[in-house]
Amino acid sequence: MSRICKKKPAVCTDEPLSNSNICQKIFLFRNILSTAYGPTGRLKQIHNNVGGHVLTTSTSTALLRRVDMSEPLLKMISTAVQHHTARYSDCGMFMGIFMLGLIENTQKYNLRTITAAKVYKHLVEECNAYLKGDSCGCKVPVDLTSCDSLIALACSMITSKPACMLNSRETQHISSLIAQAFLYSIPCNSSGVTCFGRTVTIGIEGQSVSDSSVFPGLLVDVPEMLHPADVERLGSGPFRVVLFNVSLSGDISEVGDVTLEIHRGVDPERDLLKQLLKLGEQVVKEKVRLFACQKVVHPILQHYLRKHGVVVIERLGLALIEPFVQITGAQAVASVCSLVPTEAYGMVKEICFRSCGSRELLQILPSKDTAVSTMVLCHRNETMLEELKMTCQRAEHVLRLTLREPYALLGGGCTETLLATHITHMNESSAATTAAALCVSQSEFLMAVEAFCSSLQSVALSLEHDGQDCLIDLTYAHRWVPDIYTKTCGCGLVEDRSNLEKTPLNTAYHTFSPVSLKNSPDNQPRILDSFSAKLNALNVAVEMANFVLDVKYIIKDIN
Amino acid sequence: MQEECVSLQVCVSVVGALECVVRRCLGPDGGSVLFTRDTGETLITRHGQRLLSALHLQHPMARMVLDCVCAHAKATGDGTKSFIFLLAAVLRGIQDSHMHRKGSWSVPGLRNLANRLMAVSRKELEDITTHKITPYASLYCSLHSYKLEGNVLDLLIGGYISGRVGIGQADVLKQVLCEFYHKVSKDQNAAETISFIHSNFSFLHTTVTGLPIGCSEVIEGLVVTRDWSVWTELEGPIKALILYESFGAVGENIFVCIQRDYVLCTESIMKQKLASLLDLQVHVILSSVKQPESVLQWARLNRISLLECVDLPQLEFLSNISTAETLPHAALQQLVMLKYCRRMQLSGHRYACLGMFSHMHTLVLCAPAPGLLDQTVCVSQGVFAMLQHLSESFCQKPANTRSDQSQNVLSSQDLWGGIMHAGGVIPVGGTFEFLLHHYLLNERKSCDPESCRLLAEALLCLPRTLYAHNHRRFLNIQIRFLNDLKRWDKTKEQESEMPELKFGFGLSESSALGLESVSGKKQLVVSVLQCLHRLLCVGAILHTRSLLRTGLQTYDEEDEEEKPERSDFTQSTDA
Repeated sequence: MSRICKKKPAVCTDEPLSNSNICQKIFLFRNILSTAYGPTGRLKQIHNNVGGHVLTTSTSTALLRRVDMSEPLLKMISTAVQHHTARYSDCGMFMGIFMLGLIENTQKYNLRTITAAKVYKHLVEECNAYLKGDSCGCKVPVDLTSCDSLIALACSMITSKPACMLNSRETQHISSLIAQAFLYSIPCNSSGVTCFGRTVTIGIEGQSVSDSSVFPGLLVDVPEMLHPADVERLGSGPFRVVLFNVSLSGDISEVGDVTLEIHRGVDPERDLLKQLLKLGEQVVKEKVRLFACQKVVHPILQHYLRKHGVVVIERLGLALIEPFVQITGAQAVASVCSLVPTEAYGMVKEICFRSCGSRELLQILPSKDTAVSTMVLCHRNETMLEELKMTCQRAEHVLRLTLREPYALLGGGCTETLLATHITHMNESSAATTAAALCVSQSEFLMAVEAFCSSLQSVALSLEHDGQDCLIDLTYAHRWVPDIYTKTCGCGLVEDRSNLEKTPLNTAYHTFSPVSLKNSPDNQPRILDSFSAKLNALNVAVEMANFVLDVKYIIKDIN
Repeated sequence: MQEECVSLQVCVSVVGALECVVRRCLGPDGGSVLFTRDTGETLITRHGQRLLSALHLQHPMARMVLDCVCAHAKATGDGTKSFIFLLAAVLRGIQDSHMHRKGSWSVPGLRNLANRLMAVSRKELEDITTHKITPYASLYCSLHSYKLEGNVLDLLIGGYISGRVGIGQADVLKQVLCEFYHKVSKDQNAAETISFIHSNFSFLHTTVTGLPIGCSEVIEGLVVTRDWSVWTELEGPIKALILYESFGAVGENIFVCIQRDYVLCTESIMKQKLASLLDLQVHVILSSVKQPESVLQWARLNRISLLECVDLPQLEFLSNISTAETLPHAALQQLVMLKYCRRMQLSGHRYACLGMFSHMHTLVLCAPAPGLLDQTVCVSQGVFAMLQHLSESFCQKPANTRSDQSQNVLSSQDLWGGIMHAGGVIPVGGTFEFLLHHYLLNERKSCDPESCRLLAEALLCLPRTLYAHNHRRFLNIQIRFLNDLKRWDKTKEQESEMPELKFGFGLSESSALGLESVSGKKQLVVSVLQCLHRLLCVGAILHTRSLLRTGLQTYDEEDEEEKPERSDFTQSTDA
């Protein structure tokens, strides 16, 4: 009879949000996030106390993935942010700070959960309607015919990641590369259903950032034994290509985990090699000039092919197979026993050597437009390179999101201040009717509105880390910093002038309806945020905050 | 061997402890409970049964209550939290009455009381529901039919989910679930549709994290959460082959004998197999396992779409609903016809979407984080369980009132309308409890007024907890309700025109209006009294160290596995 251990009783926490220990942890978490927010955010260094890898970052994705939360509620919040960034690549920090702000403010104003949930839900719907509507003052259309707004969008994403350690010239360079890679990945003159192309990213360490660049086609490592002369000897393209995705090593291990019984006089490996060489003969006869294989190619076959002037690329790897298929149009051949079918051959326009910094790479140019490009990113050390790679991939994703919704939001905290002002103003006059419709008392309603708007403003406040005040102007409701050198607001849309009245952001001021500025071509905001990402972040943040507030009891099983 | 006496006091405290946990999640104003394990698992729920099952219950009495709760949930699919409340209230009522008597209940006395309560549940309760509450519900519904017509289903779903998800999510979820039901049902037999959705829910939904719940939608066709390994655009009805084994399978414990030309031999066997597929003129292959690369290449060359690693149960479900034809020469291959095949983008992943000839739709449920998603899925599943119980109880019961032919094929409108007019549903928020309370107290013919009063008082605890944050509201509602009821009784005697009964809508100020099933509510009271009977009949608990074998020695195989385990558990965990 097996023994069953007596279970320990579970640890229960009633009303977790009124527990001071948990509140303190929430405060700490918010502090970690808000100090890392924005272009001047402080970097966070994460390391294990027994040594190992040290990570320096200020992005929510990298930060949250590495930090384990002890509190189940915080763990939920952290997962929600990670799931958001996995979808939208941006605004993770915004979401985290806003959500925690909402939770803290609800506690501070002592609102009932049910009231808070109803009012927040109502307000976020109002925000959605405002942001999606035509009269929205914090939205600018993204003009896909010029790359200015694309570059601005990419640039704001990069500047908000200070761990990339870029100076302003390098930032400009990288953001134009991102826009370039994005434009390469859009297939042109295609009809019907089209797919995005893809950008393959290669990182080179120890090189200056200005060496980074984007190339059309695919860049792969130069195979051993291939010399520039061999490539020159090929002449000019286009060339025929064949691609294998099975091992051509000549081993018979592929049969699997079975017992082999080999007849006398039969040498399976020699048979296989014979078969491989037969393939080689066919390939040479059919004038193939580029022979690529995902896995290993038998040295004898390689030698044979090289002797006949065929360029061999082996160990391509699974990740590169799909882009390779895309640029060449070849079908991956999976069998060594039969002849290569004619349909399986592909074409490339040209093969050439490229030197990127210290590294030599082989560039494969597609014969037709295939929307595949390779971005080579260089940076001084591994940590920075890692951060830069991630940032570039995310920025490109954000650019792609603009194709679905071709808008961007004002960056630099202006969207938050504007939205908060708009919501306060909207709800002040109609408080009585809305409160009645939501079945809450008017005072509760007004308090919840205040909690919501001050949480939004607290995100804008988090942009500032040097102890300076944040200001809001009382005409356009944009965010300002009291600095004699800056002549524009946070996003760069409004010029400063002497009669513009400003007040510190976290003080009381009378409500007003923000005046919206007409977008003129010569007056474009410098800092832009992704529209889709921020909209989703706003919605998810409110939903999660409501949900966290809703948790009334935590039962921790410690067995 | 230890003996522990079970007094009424023990029962009250055990059930009280359970009530204490459940109290936080009752009704639309309630909150949720978060469970965590050291393994990192989390469970967030407001669902009574899940909540109680997740607790490590130590006391044997508590586990007995849990058994009763599960049995009840199985029968009605609803009302587990109310179960605990009602049970606790009845027990407290018994305890109080004993204090008034200034003498303790003897064990036989308690047992006697339990028996009398059971008798009440059999006789009075039955009478009141059939003769008083059902007519009330029916009248209520006909008076408000202009508001209820057509959206009984919405209200039923609304009534169910309002207590199970947060206030902001209930509306969105209700809409998407109704849409899903209507799209799947489409003029088919309503009862069958419900039981189809209920039993196949796991295949009919797919989940997305990172988006707000409002992004949930209904998609036509069956979504398979895998991407096509080989994809070609295909038009119109397509013949598809379902494979349950790999083409290159060698199997285990097999000797491979390598002879001359073996390379060519293995190749030609594969070729023969593949050529036989071409003869069948299939354009799509759905495989439950991974296929060798050469099959992929062959599919690419012959413009055949290939989907690998499909969930086996899902594939079986697919072959069941589209009446697959099994190939004579190969047992593990089946042919089905598909309306279309698509490749779709969902939440950053590419999935396959298969069009069926029936009204197949997939429910896509979104939530910001996995725990929340889990809760949403669980609630959606529960909705269909509840609807199935309701439709089942309706279809069985009034065979005499409806003609036989209409019973066979009921459209959606007929079924829910029928349930409504037959008085099968009643507004949520304590209507049933108020009514039953009122009639139990005023039942003149009752042979056991004491038990009736006990039950009647206990019933009020449910609406009282629902309005716990605002006790004055509770009193207002009760007074208004009683006035309404008196007017109704008066007019019934005079047989004059019925006054408008505002009661149900009066309640709906704070929460969205919803409906719940009368039979489920009645069953709740019956189940609680049965459970009470079981509790009160226990005289003592013996903690033994030997293996417990109760009942007959000849078990079913299933019983044999479960029962001894549980009794072990009982012994080792002292209260």
